[in-house]
Amino acid sequence: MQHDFLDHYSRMQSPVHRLPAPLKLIAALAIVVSLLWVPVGEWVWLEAAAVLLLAVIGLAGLPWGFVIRRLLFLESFVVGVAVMALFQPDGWRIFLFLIGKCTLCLMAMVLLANTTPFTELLRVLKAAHVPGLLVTTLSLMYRYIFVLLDEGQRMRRARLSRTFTRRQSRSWRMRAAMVGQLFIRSSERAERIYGAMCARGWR
Amino acid sequence: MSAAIEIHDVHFRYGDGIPALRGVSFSVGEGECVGLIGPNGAGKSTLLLHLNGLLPHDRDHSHHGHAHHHARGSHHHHDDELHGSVSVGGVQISPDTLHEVRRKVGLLFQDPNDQLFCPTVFEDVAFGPQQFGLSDAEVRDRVTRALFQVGLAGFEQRAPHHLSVGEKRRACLASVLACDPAILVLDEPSSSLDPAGRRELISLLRAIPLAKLIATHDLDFVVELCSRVVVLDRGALVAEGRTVDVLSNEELMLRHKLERPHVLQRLHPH
Repeated sequence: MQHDFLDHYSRMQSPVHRLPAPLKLIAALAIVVSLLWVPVGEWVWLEAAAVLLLAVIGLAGLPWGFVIRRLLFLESFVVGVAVMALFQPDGWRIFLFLIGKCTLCLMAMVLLANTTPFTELLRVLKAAHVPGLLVTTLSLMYRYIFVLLDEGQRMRRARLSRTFTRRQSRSWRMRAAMVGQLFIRSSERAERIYGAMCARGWR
Repeated sequence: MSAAIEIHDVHFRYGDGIPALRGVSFSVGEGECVGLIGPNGAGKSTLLLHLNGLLPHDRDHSHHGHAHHHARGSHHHHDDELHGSVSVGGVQISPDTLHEVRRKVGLLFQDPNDQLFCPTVFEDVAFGPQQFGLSDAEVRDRVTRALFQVGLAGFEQRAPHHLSVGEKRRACLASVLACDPAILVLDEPSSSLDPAGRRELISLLRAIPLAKLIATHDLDFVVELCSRVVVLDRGALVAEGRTVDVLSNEELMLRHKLERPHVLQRLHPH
């Protein structure tokens, strides 16, 4: 199974990894919520949070390259939203502040996700009486993301092994068809999984 | 003597009008192991799903059966249609008895990925017992026993996507056994297993004293495990009898896109 990259670092050993999962979840949420409360322009608070998060990442021994790549990937969503700020007076200042804020929130989440195994987080959520349907959905998502990735990879290989052209337009059309195909397969699988759940007493 | 599974005149038609089952009747006795064989698309999987009430029911007349359907003369609806009766351990399947029946029938699905839907092996095996409302201690006990039974003791915290195919299959079996079923129903249990995994599965299944119904293309597997076979083709039952008698009937096997297994060719040379 090559999809270990998704949560590989969450099973490392470090002082941060050894902390109890509920504590880490609460701390991460606290950081995110307090960051959201910081009014625009109060850079001091962002700097303090940045120092704290960077220190913890260092302590956890997460590779910097990995953290940066994750952030850059997620940053595209942040920029997409923050761009709206540019349309108001003094937009640039707000834009930059929003980016800074969100980057730190994401950093807190990346840190949490890569120092705590997802199954532990689910257990904490369940114990905290988060609605069962939400926890079930999250756990099914975690379980099947790997199956889905595998299926996507098999389809990609099957396509590549029969691709003899470099024409880009064709390749885009093929990609769209693949996404559709993946969706159909997933929905069929969902039906079978539901059957399997019913077979073992799910109501 | 009451049969473990009693199937009587079951008809099923998918929504697109294609009949999948056309009047199938047979039974599986207590402790008996029966093979269900037939070419692709013969209706094997459909029949197995029905044993767990997983095919859509027509609530109005599912328990009244075929006769009632004719009385209403409703030949024209486009939903899936299901008629006939199936009883499991003396209980007839109907919307009211569904949960009782599902508790009795342990269904092993074709693709282990469909069946292992929890993030860890422990949670998956615990899923059934938890649904039945057992206490945490009982659940843990059931899980430990089931995993031990299939030779996966110590796999509790493993993630299903990190298991080999053979281990996945055994984890599925554990999750079914943890529900303490009265009957095992298996859909292609030996598919995509390596020879060692296949051998393990055979000895594992042999050691389980429950009634079993095994749908498969693996005829050698059938010869090793089943005393009796039922042959299904295009939704109809075309032959039934002792495994050796049916499978060594070359003409019958070929007619239904099957073949005489190698084991039997060695046993009865011509």
